[in-house]
Amino acid sequence: MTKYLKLYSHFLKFSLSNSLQFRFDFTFRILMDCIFYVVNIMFFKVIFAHTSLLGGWTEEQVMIFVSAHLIVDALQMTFFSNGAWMIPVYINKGDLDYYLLRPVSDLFFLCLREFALNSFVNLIIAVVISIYFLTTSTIDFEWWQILLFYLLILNGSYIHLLIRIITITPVFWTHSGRGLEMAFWTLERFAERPDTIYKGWLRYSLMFILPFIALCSFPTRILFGESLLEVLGYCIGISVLFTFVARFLWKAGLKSYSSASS
Amino acid sequence: MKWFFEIFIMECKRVLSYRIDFWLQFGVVVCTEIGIAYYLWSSIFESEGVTSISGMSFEQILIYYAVVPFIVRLVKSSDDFGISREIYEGGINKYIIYPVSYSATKMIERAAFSTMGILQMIVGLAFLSFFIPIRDYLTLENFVVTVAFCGVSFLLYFYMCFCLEILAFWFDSVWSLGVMLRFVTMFFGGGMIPLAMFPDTWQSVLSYTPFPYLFSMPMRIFLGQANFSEIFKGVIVTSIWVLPIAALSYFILNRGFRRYTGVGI
Repeated sequence: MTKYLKLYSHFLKFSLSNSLQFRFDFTFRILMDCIFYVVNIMFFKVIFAHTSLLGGWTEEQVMIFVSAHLIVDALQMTFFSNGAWMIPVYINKGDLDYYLLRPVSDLFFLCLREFALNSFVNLIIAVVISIYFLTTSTIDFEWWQILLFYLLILNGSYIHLLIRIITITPVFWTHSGRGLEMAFWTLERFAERPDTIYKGWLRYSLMFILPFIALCSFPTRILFGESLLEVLGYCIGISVLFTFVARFLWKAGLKSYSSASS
Repeated sequence: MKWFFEIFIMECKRVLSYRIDFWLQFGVVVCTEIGIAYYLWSSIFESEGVTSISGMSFEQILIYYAVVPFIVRLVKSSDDFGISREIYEGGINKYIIYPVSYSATKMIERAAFSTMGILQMIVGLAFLSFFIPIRDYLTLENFVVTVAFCGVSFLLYFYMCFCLEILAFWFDSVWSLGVMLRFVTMFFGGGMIPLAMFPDTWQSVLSYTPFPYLFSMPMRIFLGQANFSEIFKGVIVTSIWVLPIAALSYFILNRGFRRYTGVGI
């Protein structure tokens, strides 16, 4: 554990010095995510100009959900996105050798190597937005509900990474540019709406096959008096299950991997 | 003019050579849009117990979300302009030597992508018409006028993007500027939600901007909601927006070329 923490501190140092090299880009990226946040909030403001309930949720409930989605997005952009983006490139070019030879977990190295400081600033903004919606809400929350809400958001961000890795692994066999990752980014849009609107087979698919509603919808449910055991059991169960699936596919993919020098 | 057609045909072939990207990924985008819209708006119609919202029935809203990805593709073309990359990596060098206009070359490349988008639109709409009552709203006349209007909107979006991309002569990275433009145009242009749903004050403010002419106006034409005078006004207003933005982009490009130092020149 100490080894990993020490390694991560080195990743942080390198990433921070890299981020500040390109100051305009750094500022533009923060501004870009702020616009993304404003657009997301305004979208639901327009929706609620025509309805009082969305899938049984009020505007203030949906706004808390939106803030959860913004935090999940900022978390994955800060910690995982840059690293995970390069995985298909390394697989196709045969550059994965460098990571496989290190005496640490290859997925840890690949996914956490780049820390995005600009997205960390946006993460703070997203948390502030979430605190604003929580404190201005007329719903009464217990402290432990809020604590669980944020912990499940962290779990949601982890599930996001796992689904992404699963969609990247086909690159080992197909040698396509990005595997199924582009489909992942499109389908991820299902996570941007409250799960209460989805019904029937789609709802079950989004719960168990591509569990996008475990990212921010279920964590938000913990605040609204839903069954604690059901929500916790589902979210933790999905992250455990998908950890196994992602690791299994990754290891199977590595068996098919032929490096540049072999 | 021969080079014009050669670049156009070459680009068309390039677009069609990535068939999975061209058909399958776009199919996923369209199906996702329709899926989300279906559940989102059926939930709203159900909870409010109404038959129309802002003058649009559930059917029309569903058609809107089914067609708008095609319109977005025609207008925006590809997201990746590659202009900033050419500036950073020196790929722009050849355009200084070749007797062709850089901006015109880029425009033709994008136009080829959009033209292939028309093919996608025809096939896509024919397929979707088995599931969604598109045929009840679509006429050949509306389809042709929609595509023609998209041509004007394409020019507007092209120059907006071009202006931002060529800032790469000065800035380290302009990728985020392009993404910002995408967020803003998608939301205020009607790519995410029909502009008719916006509050009246927002709509009146937006009417002074170029955004409604990007995706919303072509969609209104497609759905038969715009009359001749509105379409004519739309073409004039869009053209008026295109002129200063194009002039600005040529000004920036000329200034950029003056400060450009290409490797190997």
